[in-house]
Amino acid sequence: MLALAACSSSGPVEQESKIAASASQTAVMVMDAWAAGAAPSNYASATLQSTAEALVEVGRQIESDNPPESPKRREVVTAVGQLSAAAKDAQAGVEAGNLRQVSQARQELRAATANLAAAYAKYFAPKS
Amino acid sequence: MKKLLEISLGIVTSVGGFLEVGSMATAAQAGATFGLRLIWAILLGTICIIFLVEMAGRFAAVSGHTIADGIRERFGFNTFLWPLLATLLVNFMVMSAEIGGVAIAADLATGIGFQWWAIPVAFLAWLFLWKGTFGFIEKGVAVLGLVTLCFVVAAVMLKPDWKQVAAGAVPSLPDHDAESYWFMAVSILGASISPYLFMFYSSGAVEDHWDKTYLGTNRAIAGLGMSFGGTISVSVLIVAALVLGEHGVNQVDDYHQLPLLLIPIFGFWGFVLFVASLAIACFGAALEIALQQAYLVAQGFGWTWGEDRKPREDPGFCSVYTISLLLAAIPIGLGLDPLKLTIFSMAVTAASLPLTVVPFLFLLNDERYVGDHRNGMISNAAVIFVIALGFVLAVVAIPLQIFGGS
Repeated sequence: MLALAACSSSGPVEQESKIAASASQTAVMVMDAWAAGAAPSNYASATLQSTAEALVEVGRQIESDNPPESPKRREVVTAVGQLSAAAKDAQAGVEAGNLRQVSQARQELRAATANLAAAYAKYFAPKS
Repeated sequence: MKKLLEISLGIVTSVGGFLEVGSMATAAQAGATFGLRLIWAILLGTICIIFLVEMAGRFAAVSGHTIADGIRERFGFNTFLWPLLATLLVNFMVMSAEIGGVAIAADLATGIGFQWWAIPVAFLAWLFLWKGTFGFIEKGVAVLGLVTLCFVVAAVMLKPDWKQVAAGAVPSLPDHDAESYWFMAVSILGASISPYLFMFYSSGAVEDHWDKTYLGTNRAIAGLGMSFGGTISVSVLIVAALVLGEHGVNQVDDYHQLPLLLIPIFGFWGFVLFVASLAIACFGAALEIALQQAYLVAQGFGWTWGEDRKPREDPGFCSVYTISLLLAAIPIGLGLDPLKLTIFSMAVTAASLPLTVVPFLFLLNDERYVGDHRNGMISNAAVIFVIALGFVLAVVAIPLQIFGGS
């Protein structure tokens, strides 16, 4: 996550990775707010839906910016797909009023964020 | 005592009227992406608008003319046509963004998509203008706009490192995403130095029958009111940096992210305060811009104008704000993203500045209008600086929109 935040280059994949990381943190903030009773369900649900859609778009963008056989593309797209799926799960949990499902989705989101950060560090982070 | 009350009310009006969707969105994006580093842009914009508002008020109080009226009379209609068209176009985009801001607030509060709110919001604004008086619109909505002070409270509660805040007040070069940094700086300046703000102010001074005895009042309102308004914008940036930035939310490109500015600080009431702030600030701005469109056209064509008149006494004036509101609601009703429109319209506002600011240099130095109250050296230096800045912004705004805009 820190590697993404500190990213200084701005190629297409790097830029999309940063957007994905930011979107996932938005989802985490919304889930926490909803779980604490600080965000209404309709707002939390709409935000998570919007975040999931943004993540799908990021994945699509990375696919179109890189050749299919690129390992960069495969790992980053997989991580972004996991983020999007977790955001959708969280949305379903919020709509059902199911705190446990949202908590589970939060863990999935954390894991996917770590995967994205690892993929980013492997391919894009400045080498010392 | 009466003057003191007027100054207080004027300051409240300026504070309540300063923050709108443009300043809120640009400050939030800048804070989330670049931390406290772009505070200088808000300060620079605030200093520029203080000078321009003071001059617009002084011009109106001494000459009895609005700025638009003065440009038409001094330079002729053909010359006036260019700033008129540019300002109408820019105002149209900004008004659309403001209607979008209210629609977003309604969407957040109800869960009903923002596009469904565009026409009802425009209708409500029209109803206020049709039935209301200038004082009601100017002061009523602005007093409600004081809810935006919640951002100042939030910024103080977050206990920022004031040394870093002070460091952010000094212009600095970006350490990452240079195009985005400069685009944000241009957008912040566009949001702060809005032509509608000083043009509306001069029309308001004429509506309120200001004369030379109001020069001190004008100076106090321009200086203190705009400074307090700028403080709210800086507070939004600080909150965005310390809440969104610290949580790793570095890209604010979805309006759903905006309530997260206040929720971690005030809990559920943060959500309510954000929605109320956005709705009231944007609704007030939409009313002012709709009126400004009507002022511009009516003053440009020499029609009868005045918000305190009955609609049958100035039908042309009323028709302009009616049509303007309807047209501005259409892009939002069609689903255009209000946040993207806001950021774009702020950059275009910056690009249009020279057309509206250059005339200040002539009007405020023309004895036939301002007599002994001409610009001094400092005021002229300030206008020349804003003009130079305006030309730079006009040249860089669109390329930066292409390379640095989200």
